[in-house]
Amino acid sequence: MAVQPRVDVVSIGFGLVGGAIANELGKRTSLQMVALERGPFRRTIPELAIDHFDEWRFTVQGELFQDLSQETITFRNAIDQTALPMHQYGSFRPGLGVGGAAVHWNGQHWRALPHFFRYRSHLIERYGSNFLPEDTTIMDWPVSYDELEPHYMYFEKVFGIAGKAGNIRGRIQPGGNPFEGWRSEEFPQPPNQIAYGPTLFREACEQLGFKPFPQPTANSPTTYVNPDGMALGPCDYCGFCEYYGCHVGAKASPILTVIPSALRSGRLQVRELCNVLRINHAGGRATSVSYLDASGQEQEQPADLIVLGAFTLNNIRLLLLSQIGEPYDPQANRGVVGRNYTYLVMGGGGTGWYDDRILNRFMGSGANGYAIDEFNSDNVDHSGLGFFGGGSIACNNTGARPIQQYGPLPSGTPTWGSGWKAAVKYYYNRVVSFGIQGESPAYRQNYADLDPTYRDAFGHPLLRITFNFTDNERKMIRYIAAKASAPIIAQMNPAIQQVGSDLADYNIVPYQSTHLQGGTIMGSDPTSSVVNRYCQVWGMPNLFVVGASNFPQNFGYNPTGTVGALAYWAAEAIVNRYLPSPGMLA
Amino acid sequence: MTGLSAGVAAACGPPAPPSREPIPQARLGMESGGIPGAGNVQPSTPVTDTLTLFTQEQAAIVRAASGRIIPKDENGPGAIEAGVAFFIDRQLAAGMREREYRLGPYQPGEPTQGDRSMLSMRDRYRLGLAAMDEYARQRFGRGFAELSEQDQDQVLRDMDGGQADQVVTVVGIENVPVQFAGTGPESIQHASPSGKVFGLQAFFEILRSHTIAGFFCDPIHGGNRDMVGWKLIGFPGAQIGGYRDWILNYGVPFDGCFANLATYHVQSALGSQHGHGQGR
Repeated sequence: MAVQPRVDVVSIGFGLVGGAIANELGKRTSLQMVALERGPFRRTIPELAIDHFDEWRFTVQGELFQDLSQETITFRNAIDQTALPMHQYGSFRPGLGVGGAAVHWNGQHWRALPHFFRYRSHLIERYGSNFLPEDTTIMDWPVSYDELEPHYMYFEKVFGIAGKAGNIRGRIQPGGNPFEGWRSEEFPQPPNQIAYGPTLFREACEQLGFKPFPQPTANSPTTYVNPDGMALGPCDYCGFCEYYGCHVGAKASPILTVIPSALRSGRLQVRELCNVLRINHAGGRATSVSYLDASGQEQEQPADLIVLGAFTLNNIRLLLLSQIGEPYDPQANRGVVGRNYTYLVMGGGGTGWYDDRILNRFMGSGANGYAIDEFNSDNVDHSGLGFFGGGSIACNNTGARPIQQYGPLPSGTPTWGSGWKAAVKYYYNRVVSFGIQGESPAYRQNYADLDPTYRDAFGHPLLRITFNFTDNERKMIRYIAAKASAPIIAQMNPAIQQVGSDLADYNIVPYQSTHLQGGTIMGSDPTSSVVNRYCQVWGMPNLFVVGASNFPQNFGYNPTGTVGALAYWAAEAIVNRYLPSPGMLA
Repeated sequence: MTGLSAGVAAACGPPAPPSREPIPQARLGMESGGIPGAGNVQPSTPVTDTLTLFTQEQAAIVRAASGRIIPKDENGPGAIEAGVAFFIDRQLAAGMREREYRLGPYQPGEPTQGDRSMLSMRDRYRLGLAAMDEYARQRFGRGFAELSEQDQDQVLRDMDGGQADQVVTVVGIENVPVQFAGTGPESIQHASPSGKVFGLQAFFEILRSHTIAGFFCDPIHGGNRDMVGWKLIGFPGAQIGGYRDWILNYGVPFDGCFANLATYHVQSALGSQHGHGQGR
């Protein structure tokens, strides 16, 4: 094993979190930094440009996804089952390479609702202390919406987010989301040009008295220059966003924004193809990072400050492998690492097949459509409903790549033969769908720990996920489907209408979303959280863990916007609070 | 507005100025979902009908089965014309799904836990094709590729519905020993992605999904020749000019040219500008 010369800062993983923090440290300090990334360093142009129009390679074969032959997770629905390794991709698709999953994302941007940051307190105040199910471990965040707002705003400027504000400093704005938290400013860019299908959803929602608004998006509608001087766009609505790069550099990602900006400091070295094995520590301080370099040799990189900003699963696993923080024990309901693992609940959406409309479904972007928020979180009065939580409802034309998106076809259509062929020909360009992103609350029995049996390619234990949905989410999806999906699809009036079925057990096979949260959650009490309000590990002041793994629970939106805000919140704390006085921040 | 079945192709020159006015519904046509300039194909690289992995016999079964899963009919060319068998052959040779987790111990699980098989995709084809041929012989007295289309459909229906699994067991499976935790040596179970034991029903789903993939993939991978899959449904392919001029043209079928990756690679090699039939 070789020991590398000491540096000031090491970033483990180099995606959105690592890139945003390295960029801020690069601009505002003179620190020397090393970033360790297990995947390759690809640039949007040329590597992920023209050739990205390849559904077989990028979506089906998963060009930009983590290599499961090296490391996967094991999964079970409940503690009394044996967890088994996930052999191939299904439910979620973590990214591989510099830029992380924010390279192949769709670009759907959201801020969490203000009441969500004090969710447990809010629900108890509104409905009483007996309202929540006993096994629910939802928590208040240790940071408020008001505190995060400037960081949401800054992230939106860095990523050139396009949308229409619904609330500027408390004043409700026509055309925006009236339920959103206050914003200090309008979105940096106006909404996308929005495709036909979503406008049918918008019109139906308006006719029903809902308040649809453009889906906020990181797909830049114009040529945009961000505060770091990095340029984006304009999007040409080619319909290849999710799982792809971007041939015109319009979809904001770390490799178009914060990472090239960070490299301009001249004090950042990115080491690609390096697999981090553990964080070494002694006496309550992280001392170095051990990793396998591209040739398979073990290296040790000493550093004064370590930022763990990998994907949710990797943040949890590295703390467990490094024996940092007490592993969570669901039987005793004690310990912290792996606690409050949450997902996202998909189901209950609407689909319509028209005879009289051609929709040009293949035109769009990863976030090209409209949404409504009437049924999200606690925007509905839950008194007497028998569940808590909700979801956003959105209709986006994200593209219609035909291997996986030739459908959906009406139920009862043959699955092969001439009948299938005729139906695909007729319906491919006549179908529109909208979906519910339902909230996945935290429960005592849903968690992550190290698997006792299965190991990665280097001989280290895999992360084990124990997770299932509960009756609360089943009631929630059934309610939203009845109150929203059914009337909306009826109002859209397609020839054939369908509303999604009830929620089954969580199944790791079909793709649902790559929205994985929790496991290294932030809190105000070291006995129930891994990091404090500044994303600093309790009892280890020079280790910051940042990402969706910090969310105490999922909310009914995509997590990336809040990950970006947390990264800037943590960067601010490091620069303004930690570096002047290295120690636990209060 | 053109459609394959209408047999009319729009010229692939610069597009007409986009109109924001929806066109009358009477012009939409009911038989297809809006077809771009069908028949106007940019030059693509030549494909060769050379097998890299399958034997001639295996390829004949895959070819015939794909042709029943997506047949040539009144709606146009099918999977045989699209070259699906060559697509599957080439992808298997290249190592389809080689980035899967493959370490043991193998043990049965719940359907929610996904594919439990240790069989590689190559082995699934090798064993699945042999069993499929054996089932055809038991039921109709001849190998699958020699059957009439009607009988081929019956074999595929029996695979799809699970009846074939009652008759033929996929060869080789019982001979693979495995140590189940706590229960001693047993035969291994091979589970399909839907959680069923690997057999002809599971193999049918593999054949079906790969036939669809080979019908709709970019032609650079050996299938979707002449973009017949895309032309069937009206997917214009790799449009590097995008649809900025068209996306607000609500309800108006796109009439730019179909394009694929070879279009751009050929143009790049010739040193010309990237572009496509919309004239941008």
